[in-house]
Amino acid sequence: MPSYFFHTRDGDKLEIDEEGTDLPDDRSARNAAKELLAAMNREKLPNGDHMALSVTVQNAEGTEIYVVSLRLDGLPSSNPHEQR
Amino acid sequence: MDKQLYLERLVLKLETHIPLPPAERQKLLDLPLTLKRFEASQDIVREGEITKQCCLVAEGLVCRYKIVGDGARQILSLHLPGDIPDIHSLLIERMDHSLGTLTPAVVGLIPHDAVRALTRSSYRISEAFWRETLIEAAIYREWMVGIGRRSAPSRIAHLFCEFITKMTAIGLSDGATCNLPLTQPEIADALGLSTVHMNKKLREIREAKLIRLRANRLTVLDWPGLCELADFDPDYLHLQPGVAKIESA
Repeated sequence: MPSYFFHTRDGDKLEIDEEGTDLPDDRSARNAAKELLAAMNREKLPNGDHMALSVTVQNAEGTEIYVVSLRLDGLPSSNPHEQR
Repeated sequence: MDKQLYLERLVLKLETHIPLPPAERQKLLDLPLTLKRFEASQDIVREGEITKQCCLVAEGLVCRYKIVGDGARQILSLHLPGDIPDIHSLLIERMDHSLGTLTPAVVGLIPHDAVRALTRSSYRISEAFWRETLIEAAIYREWMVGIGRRSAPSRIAHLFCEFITKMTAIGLSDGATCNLPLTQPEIADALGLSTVHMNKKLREIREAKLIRLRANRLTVLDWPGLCELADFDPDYLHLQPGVAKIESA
């Protein structure tokens, strides 16, 4: 099975995947990237009001085949600048 | 001869939870057993089936699992030699989940009639089986807490802590290292994680020098550190005071 590498970014923190995971095809790799992003989101959600996460998928040849990202901005609704 | 050894494993397993008098031990050793070999990833009993026998895990690793609508598998529990994972089939005949092998395995089939006769002749054995199912429920509660509330690294660490503690209790580990013949997708299926996520978090645990996992061999490098990450307290396994436990290195 081809190997895929899932590099993650959390704000400024980049994590390079050096070991990779064997998956049957590009489609499963894209789905795996989305699942990973959702899991990172679940883990990070309680911390702060701003978050920018992404997962980049590289295939065994080193080509980037997919990038998926998620941005969260939480703003207090009682903020006077927002209300008036 | 093998049959005797496998029944001794059953006695050993029960005695990690409650000591049995010699006469009761003998009654267990006299149970009729038909051995059946399975390859890895084979079903032993499928959801919906009605069985007339219980399965004693004699060799290998067995799991209970369910498949959900989209085809994803949830592994519900792991069973080691000496376990009878479908003892409940004595009273609840229709399987509401499947029982399958994770590794090549030998399973000892014991007819329900024989187990029923034994439990009726000995309240101690009856209670020992009852206790097994109660402790299994305690393990399910712990897994539920893990899947519902623990972080991915904590879940993975917890599985390692539980596995080696159980292996040590039945004499298949020295408390520092043991066989862990699970693939990464299988661990992911037991913890409700995706394989990629599991791989990443497992790497973090290895890089933190808490464990080593190579060729299906788990070695604990830092037991207190692993327990802390796992939020692991072995109380829920209800092991007898005399049973081999893991000491901090």
